[in-house]
Amino acid sequence: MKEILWKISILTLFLIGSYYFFMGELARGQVNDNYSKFTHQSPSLIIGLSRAHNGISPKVLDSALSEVPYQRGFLNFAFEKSQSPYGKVYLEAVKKKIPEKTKQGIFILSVCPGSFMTPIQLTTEQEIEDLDKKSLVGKINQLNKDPNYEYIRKGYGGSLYKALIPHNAKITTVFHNDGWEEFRLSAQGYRVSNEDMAHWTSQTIRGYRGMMKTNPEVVSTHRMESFKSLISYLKNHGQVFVVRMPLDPLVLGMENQWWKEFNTEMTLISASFDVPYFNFSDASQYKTYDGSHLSSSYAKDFSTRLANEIKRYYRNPQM
Amino acid sequence: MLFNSFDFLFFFPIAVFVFYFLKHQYRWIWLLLCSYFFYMYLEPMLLLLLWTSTLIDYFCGLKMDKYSDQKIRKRFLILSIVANLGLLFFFKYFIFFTENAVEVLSFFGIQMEATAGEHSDYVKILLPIGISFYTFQTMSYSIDVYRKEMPAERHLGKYALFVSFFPQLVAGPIERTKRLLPQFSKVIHFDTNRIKKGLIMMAWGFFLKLVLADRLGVYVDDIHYNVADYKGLPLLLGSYFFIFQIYYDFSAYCTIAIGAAQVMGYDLMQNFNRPFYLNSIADFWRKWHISLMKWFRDYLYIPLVRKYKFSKVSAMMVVFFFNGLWHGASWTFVVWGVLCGVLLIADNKTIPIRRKILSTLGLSYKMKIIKVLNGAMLFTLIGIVTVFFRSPNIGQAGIYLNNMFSRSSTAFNVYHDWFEFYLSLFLIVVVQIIHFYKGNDRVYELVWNRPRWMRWIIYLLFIVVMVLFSVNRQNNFIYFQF
Repeated sequence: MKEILWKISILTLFLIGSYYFFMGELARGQVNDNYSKFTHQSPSLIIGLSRAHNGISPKVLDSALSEVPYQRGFLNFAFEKSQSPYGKVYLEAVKKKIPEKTKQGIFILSVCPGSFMTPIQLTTEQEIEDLDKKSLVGKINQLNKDPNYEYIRKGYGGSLYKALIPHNAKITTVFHNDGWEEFRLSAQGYRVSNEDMAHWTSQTIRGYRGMMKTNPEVVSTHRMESFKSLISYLKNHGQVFVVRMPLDPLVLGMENQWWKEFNTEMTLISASFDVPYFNFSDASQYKTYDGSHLSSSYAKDFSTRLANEIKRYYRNPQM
Repeated sequence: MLFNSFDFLFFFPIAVFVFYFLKHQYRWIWLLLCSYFFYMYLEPMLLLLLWTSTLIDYFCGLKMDKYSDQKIRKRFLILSIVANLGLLFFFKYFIFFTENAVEVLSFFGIQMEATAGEHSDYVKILLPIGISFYTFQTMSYSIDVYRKEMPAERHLGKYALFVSFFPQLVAGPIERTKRLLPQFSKVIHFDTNRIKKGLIMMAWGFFLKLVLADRLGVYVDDIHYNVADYKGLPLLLGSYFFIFQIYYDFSAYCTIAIGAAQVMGYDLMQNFNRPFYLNSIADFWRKWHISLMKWFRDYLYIPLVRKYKFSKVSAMMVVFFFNGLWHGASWTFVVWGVLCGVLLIADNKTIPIRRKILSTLGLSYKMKIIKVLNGAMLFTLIGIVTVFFRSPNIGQAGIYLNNMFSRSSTAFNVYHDWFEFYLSLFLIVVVQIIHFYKGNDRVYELVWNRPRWMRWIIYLLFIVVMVLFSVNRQNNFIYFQF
C-alpha cells in the first residue's frame, strides 16, 4: 500500500506542479481579453458592458486628461453582457477594484438598455443574484492578483498549450494591460471586409429580434437599484460620468423601440445624483464593426471625445 | 458533485483511503455516506427523492418475496413501478405534458388559465440529477424480484447503497441487481494491480472528457448557437463532431465510474463497446449505451413481443420512442428516438435489396471497402438524425438540416484556429485507433506489463498532455441532464 501511495503522491505533485507552471507561463503572456481586469486595483474605472469594453481606451483617456486633477491609471472593468450587467454582484466587484483611499477617481459608467435587463422568468432578487454569481465577476473571488491563477482556472476557457505559442499576429483583437480589448480592422495578412461587418451587423440585429421574440427580457428593479447604489458608492471616491456609447443607427432604433424612455430615465437618475449624463448614442460618425461595438480607430477617437467632454465638465461643472 | 471538478479530486482519495482502513462490515456505511454526500453536494433536497425511491422499492421487494400469491406480488410490483414512474413523470415530464396538453386544448378552442408560459410556477420544478438512471435501476430490481430471478435484499443499508452507489449514481451504467448488489457483501482486499488499473481507467476517462469531448463541444456549441449563419459542410462536420462529442463525453463518464468502482474493488458493467465500428444500425445499438439498451430489451421489448404479441417492428418502435423520451422531455428527443427506430428497421429491411444490388455490380458486402463505406454511410445517417438530439427545438433542428443540405459555406472551421481543428481531428483518429485495438475496457493495457521506466515516461507525458491540452470549460457531462 505504501508503494502505491508514494507513486500516486509523486504523480499528483507532478500534476499540480506542471499545472501551476503552465498557468504561470500563460499569465506571463496574453491570457484573454478579461485577464488584465483581474490583476490589479485602479483608482479610475470604466464600468459597463461590451460596448465600453471595446469602445473606451484607458490609455487614451489618461493621456487626454492630463490637465484634469484625478487619480490616473484608468482600468477598463467592463465585460460582455452576460458577465457584468448592473447588480449587487458587479457592485461588490467594483468595490474590490478601487483602493480604499481613492478620493479623486473618475468613474465612467457606460449604460444601455441591456445593462438593466433580466430574463423574464427571473422574478426575485435572489434569482437574479444567483444568475450573476455564475458570471465572471461573480465566480472569481481574487480580483487583484498577479498572476491570477483563480482567473485562469475559472475564467479562461482555453487550453494551457497556448502559453507555448506566440501571439497570432493574424488575429484582429489585441488585449491591453489596462483592460481594453482593441478590435482592429486589419492584422498581418488579413483585413476585415465590409461584407464581414455587414454580416456581423445583421447578426446583431437578428440576435436582438430573436431575443425580443423568443427570450424576452424585462427591466429589472434590482439592476436599477444596484446602479443607483453604485453611483452613490463611487461618488465617495471621485467623479462619476454616466455615458451612453455610440452604436449603429439600426440597432439604436431597436433599442429605443425596446425601451422608449431610456434616455429620460438615465437623465433623471444622473440628475438625482448630480452626475453628468453624456448621450453619444446618435453620434453616427463613430462606426461599429458589428452594429454595437466600435473598432480600434473609432474607439480611440471616441475616447478622445469623451475625455474632451470630461475636461469641459471639469472646467464648467454647471454645463 | 462533478467528476471533472476540483472537489472530486479531494473527495475521491478520502473516500478510498477511509474505505480501505475500515473493516469489511463497516464499509457499506462509509460508501453509503460518501454516496449521499456526493449526490447532495449540488442540492441536498434531492436526497429526499432518492430515499423515497429506495424505501418504496425496498418495501415492495420484501413484500413480493414474502407472498407467493401472484396477484399480491403483482400489486407490489405495480406499486413500485407506479411510484418510480410517477416520480420520473412529475419531475421530468410534467411540464412537457402540461404544455402540450394546453396547446392541444387551445387548438380546440379551450383556453387554460394557467398557461404554459415562462411565468407559470410549474416551470420551476427542479429536474433531479440522475433520476432517469436510478429509477430505472430500482425498477429493474423490483421486476427481477417479481420474476423470482433473485431474492429480495433484506439489508436496507446495502440496498440503499445499490441505489445510490456514487460512481454510477448520476449517469450510469444502469446496473443490474444480480451483478451489483451481491458485490456489496463480498470481502474486498487491497489489490494494488486492480487499483492501478482502476486509476488508469479513470485517467483515461478524464482525458476523453477534458481533452476531447469538451474540445469538440466548442465547435458544436458554436455551430448550434449560430446555426442560421452556416451552410453545408460546417453543419455536416458539426453533426459528426457532436456524435463524437457525446460518445467521448458519456463514455468518459462511464470509464471514470468503472475505474472509480474498480479502485474500491467493485465491477461495473461496460456501457460502450466500440460503437463506431459498426456493420448495421442494430450493431450500433448493441454497442452504444449498453446498459440502457439491455434494460429496454429485457423489460420492454421481450415482454412486448412474447407476452403482448407485438410484432418485432412495432415493439422496436415502442422501444425507440421510449428511448427518446427517456433522454428528455422534449419533442426533439421523441423525434430523435422515433427516427433512430425507423433507421434501424429500414437498415434491417433493406439488407437483402442492398446485397442484391451489390452482387449485380459484381461486389460483395463482405469486401472490406464495402464494409467501410457501409459504416461511413450509417455513421452519417446517425449523425444527421442526432441533430434532433442536440437542437433546442424542432424548428432549430429543421433550420440545421435545411442549411446542411444547402450550398456549402467556404469557411467550415468555426474554431477560427486551424491548430484546434486539426488537433480535434487528430485526437478523434488516435482515440478511435486505441479503442479499436484495446476496446473501451482494456485501455490500461497500453501501460500494463511495460518496463518500469517506460511506464513512468508514459505517466509523466500523459500528465503534461492533460495539463496542456485540456479545455477548461468546466462543463457538466451531457448525460447529467437525463
